[in-house]
Amino acid sequence: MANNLLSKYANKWIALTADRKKVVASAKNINDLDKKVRTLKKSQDVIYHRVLPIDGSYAP
Amino acid sequence: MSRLKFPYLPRPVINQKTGKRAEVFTPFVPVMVSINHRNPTPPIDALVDSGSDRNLFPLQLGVLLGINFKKIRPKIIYGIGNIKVKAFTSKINIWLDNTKYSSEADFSLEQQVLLLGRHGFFNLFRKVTFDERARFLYIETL
Repeated sequence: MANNLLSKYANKWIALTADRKKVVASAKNINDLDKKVRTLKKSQDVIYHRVLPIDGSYAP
Repeated sequence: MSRLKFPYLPRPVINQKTGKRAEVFTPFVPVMVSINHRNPTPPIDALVDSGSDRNLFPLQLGVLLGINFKKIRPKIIYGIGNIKVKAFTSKINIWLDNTKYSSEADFSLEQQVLLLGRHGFFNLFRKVTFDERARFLYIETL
């Protein structure tokens, strides 16, 4: 998963291809992301990932 | 018993002092989540958090799963800095490495990433080990 790729999706949910090399969809929440993925023409295995903030450390 | 191995995932951060880009390696594991006998979600990267008492998931994931939050009495949970958030507890299934585990999670509107805590995740396994130097997480099943 290239970090340059991830930076522009900070604070968003993304759907990654199974090899984690490509973003196929993004959304502000996981429910909207799932809706977008279901509308994709090509059915494929994806991984959902929340991109954490990039401007500091993360302490949940 | 099996021993599962998950590499930490790199994430971008910008050093606020220098403005330079760096990488932080974080212990995410891909889990699928379901309720009752419904089909599970696609794999979702969840943060393994030994400091969290319980699993804490985004409310929107609960909506996606079909949980009716109107029927659940909310409770208050405390986060870092003593911040209080409203959460709803529901029984769920967590799928790890294609094995289904019965568990439960708290769902909160304020939570954005899936947190896997000690009750509801760590206690499902024999051992959870963080190897910070090698950047791997090991999970030994019962």
